[in-house]
Amino acid sequence: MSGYLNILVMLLVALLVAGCLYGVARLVTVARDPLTSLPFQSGWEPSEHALSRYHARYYPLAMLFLAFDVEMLFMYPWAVIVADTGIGAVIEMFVFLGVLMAGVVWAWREGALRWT
Amino acid sequence: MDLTAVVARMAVRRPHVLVVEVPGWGRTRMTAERELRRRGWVPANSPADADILLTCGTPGPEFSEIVDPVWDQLPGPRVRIGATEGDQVPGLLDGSRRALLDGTVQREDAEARTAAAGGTPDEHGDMDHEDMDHEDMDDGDIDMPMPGGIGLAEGGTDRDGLDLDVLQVRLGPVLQHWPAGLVVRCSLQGDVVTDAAVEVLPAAGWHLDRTHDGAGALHGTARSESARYCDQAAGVLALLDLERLSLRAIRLRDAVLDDVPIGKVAAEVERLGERLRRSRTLSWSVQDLPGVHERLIALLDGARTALLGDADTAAPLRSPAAETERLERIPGLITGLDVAGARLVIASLGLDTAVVAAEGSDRG
Amino acid sequence: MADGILQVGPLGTVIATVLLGVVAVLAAGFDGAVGARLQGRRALPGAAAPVWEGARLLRQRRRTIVAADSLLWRIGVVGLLVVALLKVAVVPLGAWTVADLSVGVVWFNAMDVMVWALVWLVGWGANSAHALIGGYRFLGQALSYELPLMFALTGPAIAAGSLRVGEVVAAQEELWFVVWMPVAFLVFCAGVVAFSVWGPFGAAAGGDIAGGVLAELSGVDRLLLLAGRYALLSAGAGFAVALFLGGGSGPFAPAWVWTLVKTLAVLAILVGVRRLLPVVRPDRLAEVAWIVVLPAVLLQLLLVSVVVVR
Repeated sequence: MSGYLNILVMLLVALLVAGCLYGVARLVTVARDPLTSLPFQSGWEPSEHALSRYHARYYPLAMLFLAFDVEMLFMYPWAVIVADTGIGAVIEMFVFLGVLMAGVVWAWREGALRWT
Repeated sequence: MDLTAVVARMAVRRPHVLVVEVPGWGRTRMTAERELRRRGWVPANSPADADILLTCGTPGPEFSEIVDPVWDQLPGPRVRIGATEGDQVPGLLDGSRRALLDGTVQREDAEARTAAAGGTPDEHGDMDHEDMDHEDMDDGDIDMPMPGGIGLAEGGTDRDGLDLDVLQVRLGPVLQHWPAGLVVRCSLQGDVVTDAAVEVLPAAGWHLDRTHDGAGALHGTARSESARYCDQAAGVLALLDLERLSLRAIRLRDAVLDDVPIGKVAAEVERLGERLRRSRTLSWSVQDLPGVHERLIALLDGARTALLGDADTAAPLRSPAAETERLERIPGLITGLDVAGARLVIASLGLDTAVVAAEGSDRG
Repeated sequence: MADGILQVGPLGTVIATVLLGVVAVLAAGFDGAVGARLQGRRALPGAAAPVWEGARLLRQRRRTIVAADSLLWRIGVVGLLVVALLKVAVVPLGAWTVADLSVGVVWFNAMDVMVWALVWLVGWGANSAHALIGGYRFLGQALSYELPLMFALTGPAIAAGSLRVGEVVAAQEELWFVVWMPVAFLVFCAGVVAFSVWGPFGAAAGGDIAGGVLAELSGVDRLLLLAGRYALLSAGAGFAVALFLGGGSGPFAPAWVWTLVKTLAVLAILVGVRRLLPVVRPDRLAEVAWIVVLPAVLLQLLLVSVVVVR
């Protein structure tokens, strides 16, 4: 448990470091209040707010990623016991990964990995 | 000695400079970049990144209206300078460093900006509000005040039939590795260009740096043409973040301008072209952008042929009509690409916006 | 375990923080020196770049953008440095570690996934088209680098039969994992470069979109983000040493010296790679990452697990 206590201390130290940087900056900066500016658009005024429904062209890839990412949940505990469990565990895991990989190849042929 | 002064002195050791080139003043910009490199100062790629705003050349009224807001976006400490001749640059940069160091002036500047911002945001917002075309808005809620007087993005059907927002984003004229004065109005869905239109903002007067080389004007023209090609190749390489190769092209550009014997430079240019032709990483990274690799090599070929031509006759300038035609091809080339691809395609075209801008200002 | 890993008290966090700071500044100095050499100036003054840059950004005024999502923006800006420090907590220095977690490897992985959110927040929060594109570019890139990175991390864990970083280091007493897991090592290093938004994987902060996620940042905010990037590179280099390069093992010098020396060596390569390779646009990366790199890492894992169960 003390490991996580140290992690917590580390988090506090990290925030303290960031806070100190902000503190030093307040001391030496030419102006403490931030400048309110328009976003940079090569000199033009933006005609609408940038925050919008963005076209993330990689959404099919994101789906594929999720499938594989959930698999990682099994991978870590498996990594710890595979040496004790033996070849059976290896076969099971890699058949599973092979099935996933087949899915990736299918998605690739469907064009999910190309966006443009 | 107080802390502020110590930090200030350290802070001005390596200022960042946002360089803006007005069409026709490419030579001045090249000299400025060279001076920055010599000093170890850093070219900025956005106003947020810059301490110094350096305008190379005399912008026309429309161009000025673009540069002023950019100046407003520099965080400060900030200094604004303008150069028309390359030899003004070192002095201007020295002066800028002194001005950056002056804490009192910079603090006053900051306070003045705060005061100005405090007084006018409403007025500013209202002004924009009137400009907005409410009838086009999807929301239809006219009474809702828009933050900062800026509208919300409107929906549009994308290529997959999804209803996604469209942003109207203008690329240029203030942009690194970008043809001087060029403005591309893009409709963006995500980072995909769905529509584009092109214009060039002219300078205040007729100014082509290549006829401006002084006594050896004709001789200088061949070299200037070659330097321009090298510069454009360096820009493409810089967009690809190939720093070594980009620097090689820039050194060649400077050597061409420096009256290094033509045969020697031409051989070097050829060697770089050969290197780029053979580079697997380069061809792989632009594989999905047809023509970019070829045009990049063509730029270096152009640099070499300009040198090998008779040095005593002027290299023929592209005609404004031909150049305008090339500009008008841009929308067709970049529609459907993402911003990264569009930037590479535009950079690889090797546009000579100065010719078009000069004609534009003639007409005006 | 005779020469196992010793968890230090809470004060160790301060030492770890200072060390990471020093290593990160050295990395930035190295980059400055290489850059100066390339541009034909002397290397030594170039190495001072992080000092001048730090002073410049501390003195510079901060910016905020009209209608920016300030809270989310700041979380992203501060977050990279915080995450880097939380990563370092499980990186052993010689025989000491800040947090000897039983799932240290998973912790590191969890922290590098945080980077997804943080970089995107920096891009989103600014309410600027360029920054927004940068943020989403990073997500596109992350979809490609994360899986190979995760699988590369499991290689050493399988071989050591433990997710505890100390035990992974101890398992390399006879043979460093890099020797028989070169693919996993290379992929891990590439992953470090990628989650640090660095060099070939720096498209999210690309020059073609005015600095992308960096486009609207000035002053101390920008400093924190730049520092966070170097800190992430440094933490990643440190973890690579623990997982693949035998941690603190080495002759003559104490273990902590070896950890530092190896970390700096790996870090120098990671920093230097920026000047050697072109920026890889995320859409160019996807196909290679999923069809070439991912199967390669899986084969590496297969090899490792077959060796382990024999």
